[in-house]
Amino acid sequence: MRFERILVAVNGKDADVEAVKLACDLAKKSKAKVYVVYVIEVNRSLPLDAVIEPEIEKAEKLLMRAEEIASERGYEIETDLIQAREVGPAIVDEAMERDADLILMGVTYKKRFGTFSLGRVIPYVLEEAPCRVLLCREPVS
Amino acid sequence: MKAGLQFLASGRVKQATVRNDWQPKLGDKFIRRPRVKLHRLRRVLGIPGLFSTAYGDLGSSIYYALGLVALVAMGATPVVLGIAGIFFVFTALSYAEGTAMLPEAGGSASFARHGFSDLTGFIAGWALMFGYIVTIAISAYTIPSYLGYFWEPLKESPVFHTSVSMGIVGLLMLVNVVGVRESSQLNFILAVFDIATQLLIIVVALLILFSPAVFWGRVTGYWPSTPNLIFGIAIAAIAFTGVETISQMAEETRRPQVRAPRALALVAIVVLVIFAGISIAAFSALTPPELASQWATDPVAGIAHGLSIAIVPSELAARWFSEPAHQIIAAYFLQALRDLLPVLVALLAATILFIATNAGLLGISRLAFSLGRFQLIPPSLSRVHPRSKTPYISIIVFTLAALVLQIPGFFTSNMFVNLGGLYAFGSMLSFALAHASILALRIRKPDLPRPFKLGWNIRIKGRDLPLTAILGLIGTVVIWIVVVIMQSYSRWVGFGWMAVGLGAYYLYHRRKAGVSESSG
Repeated sequence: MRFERILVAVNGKDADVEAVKLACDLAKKSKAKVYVVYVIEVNRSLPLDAVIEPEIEKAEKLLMRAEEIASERGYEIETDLIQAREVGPAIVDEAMERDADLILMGVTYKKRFGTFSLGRVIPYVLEEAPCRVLLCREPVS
Repeated sequence: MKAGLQFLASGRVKQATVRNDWQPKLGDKFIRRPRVKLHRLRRVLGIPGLFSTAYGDLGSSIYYALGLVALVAMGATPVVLGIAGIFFVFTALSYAEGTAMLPEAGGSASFARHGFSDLTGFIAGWALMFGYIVTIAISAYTIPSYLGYFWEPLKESPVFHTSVSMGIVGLLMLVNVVGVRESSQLNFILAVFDIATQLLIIVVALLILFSPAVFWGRVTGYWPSTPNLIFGIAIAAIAFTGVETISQMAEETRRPQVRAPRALALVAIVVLVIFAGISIAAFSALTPPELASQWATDPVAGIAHGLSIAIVPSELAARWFSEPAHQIIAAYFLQALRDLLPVLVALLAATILFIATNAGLLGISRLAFSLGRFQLIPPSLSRVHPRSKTPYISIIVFTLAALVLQIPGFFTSNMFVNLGGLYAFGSMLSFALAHASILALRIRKPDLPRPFKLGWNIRIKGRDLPLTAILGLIGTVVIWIVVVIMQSYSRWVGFGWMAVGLGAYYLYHRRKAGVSESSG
């Protein structure tokens, strides 16, 4: 499978590292573009463009870390920071705007009420994304 | 690749041709945060999204405005609602021009800041905040009345009634401080369900009860005194809460220059039609004294009660159908409607009012943040909690203000009218400044791009001034003066609120000037 534009959605979990590495490896074959995005979810009690310093700081660190990982892999990536009311639609919208042919996301192994759970963002993206979606689940510790 | 690393593919690859119909659902809005370059808004909200958000506010007011207006205007209730509706249209038009011209959160505060000065912007914003606080108090105060269908003390006992309404406000304060996610889809579904229920009530009332002679008799037979008629028009402004909402959401709207005016027009039409219909239904089902006494705080429940008494299934089925089989089926459905309508109204009203209370809280915290951004209020009010990421100080401060406004409910019987007067005080002041700002911007910044420009202009000294804004300004100022003169409670509490705000504004700016002088 060859990809031209890969969108990696990061959320600050450990699984992001493997997702970025994997995106770089996949992109190398076809010299694809890799976009890494972080979505800040803004509560409705705030304007959408509210500056939430700690969140922005955290996001900047994460995106810088993603750039470092890519650089270690010998690949250059583009990073972006988005504010939205909900993460899932923001990722799908971003993928559509960038005409991405793959969305790649890291998944943390977690259980909710005794059952493995993907949370609310991943099922939304799996259902609504127009392109391929690849999930990279971290090993069970 | 590490051992144990697993991959999950999406299972089926949807072709772009199949899936390019994906549309962001209501409430999906995104902005790109600046990293090096300037951020841009990812505007996604369309006309349906704007409409349902505004209708959530406007549609909820029908559950209390009708009884509140009837308390003052009695038989003239439909008339005063109609007159207030005209001013509502003028206000919506001014907002349409302003929002299309300045698509930013802040509404009238934003228009006034651009049209006049920071201080005027603050006055408009502070008055608007007062309107929001009263909306929170009055929406929450109405919920126990509707729930009284299930347990009467909730409606009849002032202690239970006020305690529960204060509890609701307190609960929402905690929920919003913690920052629970709100479902925009649920709001949309409820708005549709709400319109459908109100249309059902109107249609059933017209089919079963409406008689022009009875309606006219109830209007003329219970015509109020002239002061009450005038005060009724002022109070009726509460029926049109939420016109500000579309303006507040402009920042998140795709092509706000086009869509905001269209959404405002759509909301104005739907609300006027529904209010006219519900007024007719109310006067068909109840007499004005009934509406103004036992059903004052839950007028739509009163209409549902009146309709369920008027529905005699077998009689109506026999009147409408000649075939016995058809009569049996019709009687079955009429019986179900008769049994379900009061329960449906009680549950729907309580839910919608709960959401409207929450919308008021969210609106005021967004407005506070917007005012804080332009340093019109101390930035500490818009401080965001490090963990919950919510503007907890503004939520707590303004919720406490709403709770204080509810306290008289324990002692006085006219608390409902007082809250209506307070709303009129805040909103009319804010709306008057919105109209004045639109006129000022036409004079001071005539070349500012106006994607939606009001028609029917009068040319004065080379400037085109929209007639609707002039009439809207005169109307809202007159209503505001009426409230100030006729309602001492609104006068003192309202001016007290403004005095506190202006005092804080003065001190804050004096301190700010001192800090910049000493650092300079």
